[in-house]
Amino acid sequence: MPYLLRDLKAFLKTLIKEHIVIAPVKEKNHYDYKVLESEDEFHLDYVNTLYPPKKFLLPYEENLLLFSKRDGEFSAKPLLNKTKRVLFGVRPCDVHGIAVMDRVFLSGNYVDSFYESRRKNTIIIAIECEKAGENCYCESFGTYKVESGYDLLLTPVDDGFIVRVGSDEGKKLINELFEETDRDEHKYPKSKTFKKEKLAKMEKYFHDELWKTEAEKCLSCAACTIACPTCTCFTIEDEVQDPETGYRKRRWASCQLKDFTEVAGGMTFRKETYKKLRHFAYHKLYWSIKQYGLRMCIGCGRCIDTCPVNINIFDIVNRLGEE
Amino acid sequence: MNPYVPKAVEIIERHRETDDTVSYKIKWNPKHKPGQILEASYPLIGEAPFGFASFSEDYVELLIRSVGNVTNTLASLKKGDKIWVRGPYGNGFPMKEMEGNDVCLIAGGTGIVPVKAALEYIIKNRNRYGNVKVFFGFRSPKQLIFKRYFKNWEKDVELYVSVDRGDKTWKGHVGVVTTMLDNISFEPKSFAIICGPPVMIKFAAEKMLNKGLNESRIFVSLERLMHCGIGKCGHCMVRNVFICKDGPVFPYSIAKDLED
Repeated sequence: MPYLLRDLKAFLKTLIKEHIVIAPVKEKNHYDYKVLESEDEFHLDYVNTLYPPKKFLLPYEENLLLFSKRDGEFSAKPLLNKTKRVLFGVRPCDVHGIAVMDRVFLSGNYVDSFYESRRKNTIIIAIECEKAGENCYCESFGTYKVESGYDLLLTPVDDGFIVRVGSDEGKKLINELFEETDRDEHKYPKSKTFKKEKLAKMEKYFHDELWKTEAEKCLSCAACTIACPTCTCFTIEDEVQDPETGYRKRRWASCQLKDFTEVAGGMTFRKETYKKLRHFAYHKLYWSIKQYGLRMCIGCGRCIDTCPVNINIFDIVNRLGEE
Repeated sequence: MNPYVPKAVEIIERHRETDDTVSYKIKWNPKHKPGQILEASYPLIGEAPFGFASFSEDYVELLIRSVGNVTNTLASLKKGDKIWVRGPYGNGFPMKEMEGNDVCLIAGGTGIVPVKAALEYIIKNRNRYGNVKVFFGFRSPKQLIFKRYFKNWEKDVELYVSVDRGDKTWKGHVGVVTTMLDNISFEPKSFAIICGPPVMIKFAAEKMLNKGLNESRIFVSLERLMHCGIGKCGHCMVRNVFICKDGPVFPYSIAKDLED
């Protein structure tokens, strides 16, 4: 049974009292996820944040192991982050984005313990969108709606929010501010669309000249992979604190940058700009289906928002196979 | 089990192989297959991927080429020191599938690493395989790796070694490794294992195809930059394939289409 929440601010206040709450906050020209000091910092006037919430599950830089020397021998201690946090105001597309991260880090023969620890301790409170942004393509991906992956899902309505519970953790957050209701409204705004049917034929378009001509303006700057909610590549390195202690850490890496594929001896694979751009597009839109049974792209349009030279991968897909 | 936590193991032997390579025997029995890979590291220095260079229940051999910060330090360890390892990762060569057939092993330079592991597996199970021919190519006589094993291997298999450029002492074949294949014929049902630089792999595989081998019986071991070894970090992805997890061994029927 859904609930009706009339006073969002009062709810946020109770959340902040007991949890670290991270939510979209207005910066100069955009919104970004920040730890809320007070419920007054949150205003529901954002379409979406410039950057996705991925950094809270996979920080830009993260210490994995602590090495320390005792009696002449090093030992390695894994550093698992168990801080309980609430991601508040997450848009449905980004809930899908987190589901992709879950698939990458939690499925297969190896579970990524560091991601798992952060993820298990993160409560997700999603809020449906009232309108789509300029570069939103969620309509094409069906990611404007979400059926799982959240703890609470809020739908804005005239007299407050319809609240659906997605987990036991979410259930625990229901307090006297919530009243039971049988209303079943959703907000599914219409976004832009692209010729999605072409995605099935991506194999055929691999050698399309368009990849080369579009890449002529690409700067290989990695803005797209930084902004992408499902770009999770990383590099592992050691960092010395003093001769007897140090960290093995990981930090974000990007397939658009030169050192990403450099092997011992200096040889670099996939050097050409168009191949890197194509790699990004194919991974998001096509290869991920074979790898994980889902498309990595959630249609949030952040790669378009942040591209300094206005490359739009959906626009490229639209034109693939044309003379 | 946290897959990123390495285990410290002891170096029980150290050999200088060439100017820029050393090999270690380490006390580790991870029950690996020939062709699989591991991550080796040293605290505060860093981690790098390697192939298993041996097939034994008593030890693991590693070949380390000094090409950067991490490998320089890893190559400078001494007998008795600890080295940190995790693995095995990846698929390895389909040794069982090859049983009952002739096998041709071809390696160039440090590509000898996984091929040596396969060769030791074959020698250990010698009666399960037919005629086995091994072709190793190195840049010069000074660049020969694992030379001390050659004599022993010759007892069980046909070994051919070439160098790109000879010198006064070199009595053997001169030319790239694939030139040794020219006058040799193979049973069409034979299997081949190939590892080396990308260009060499391509030439060797095409040559074996021309000699009548099936592309699904030619197995190549590919190299890419890897950080995690478990299909998470993304560095080694080529198309939809993670070299570390889905490879590093691929039949040529698949490898030939792994275009960036």
